[in-house]
Amino acid sequence: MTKLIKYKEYELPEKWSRKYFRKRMSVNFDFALTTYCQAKCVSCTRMNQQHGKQGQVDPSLVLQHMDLDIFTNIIQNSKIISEENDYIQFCGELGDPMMHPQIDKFIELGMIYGGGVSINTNGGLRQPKWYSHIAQAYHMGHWDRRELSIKFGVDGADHDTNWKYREGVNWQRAIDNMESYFGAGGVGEWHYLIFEWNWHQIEDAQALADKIGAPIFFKFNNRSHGLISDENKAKAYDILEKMDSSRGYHLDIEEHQHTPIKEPVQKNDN
Amino acid sequence: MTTKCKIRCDSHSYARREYEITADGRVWPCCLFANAWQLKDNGNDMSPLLLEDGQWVVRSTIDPDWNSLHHHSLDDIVADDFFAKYVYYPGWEGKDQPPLCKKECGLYIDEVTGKETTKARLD
Repeated sequence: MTKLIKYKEYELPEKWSRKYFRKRMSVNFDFALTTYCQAKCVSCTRMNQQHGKQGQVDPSLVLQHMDLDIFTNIIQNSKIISEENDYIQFCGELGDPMMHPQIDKFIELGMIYGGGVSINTNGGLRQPKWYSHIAQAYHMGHWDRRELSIKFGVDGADHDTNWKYREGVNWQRAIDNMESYFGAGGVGEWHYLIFEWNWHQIEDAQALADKIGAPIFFKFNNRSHGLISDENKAKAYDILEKMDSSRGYHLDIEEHQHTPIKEPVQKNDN
Repeated sequence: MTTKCKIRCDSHSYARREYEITADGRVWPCCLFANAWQLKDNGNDMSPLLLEDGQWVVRSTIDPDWNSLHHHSLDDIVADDFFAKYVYYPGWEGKDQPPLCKKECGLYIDEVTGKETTKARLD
């Protein structure tokens, strides 16, 4: 019989140690909390790239938020989540989780019943005060090594550059939110997608990340919109390699894991 | 590791299983399935790969809400053979691979790099 621990109004299964999970297959769930988003990223699936006007949200997409009661029910009662879950992810393909009006409650439940919570956001939603609050509320020391991790997708060292892909995102707000979150001890990363128009800002972004205390990871965009040229990709690799000699690793999107810097692809002279 | 499998999935392996749950409360093997469902009315070329998949059709005909958390528990849904076998190694290594997996995550040799890759990884 599962031993339960009392926490606030919840009855918690006794599964606090992450060592418990290491012996098992990792089973994780990405809850797409909403299909709402303030951004209009051209390559995003929610934008009507091929079936209507560019810059328009796909009219066939149903705009909706996930029902908190459904989430509460499954996360409290699922044996898989109780026994095999490493972390709950709030990423979603068609919306930004921070758009959900009850995101605080989702995070709380995910932290209590899941193995931890990982969130992906464009960073431009909500206030710095909110970010500092959750950074403090879910400080790892209070959660027996369970981790709340937020990944901020910001693709430029200034507003106009970020807007070239992440149209609709308030860049300054995103930076302020990151600064507030990491300054309050929050765990997470700044994810910087490299496009043709922003590779030259890699060093500026790294400097800004250092200033606000955000670990930054660079990935090459592989989609056609804004795809970096081979020539500039080689230059970007040079910059990353130079930075990497003192920093270690960057994120390679094709490998979906942290990998050492690779040699740039040689151009075919034929 | 198997050598029979010609599908490389970023969501499911021997060590890891990652499911997608859409805002409408439906459970999916990954975001590709989720998007095929959520954007099924826009005329894209991926949705038919799900909606005309025999395994999907059988289940949806019997119970249109078979993968909905509004009607079934998460544990029951992921225990269904659709998740447990079909969209996993037994299905990938069988004769009738899931069409969506085959198209998006079927391995092929990239002419430029000479390395194995999948369409989903290049998108």
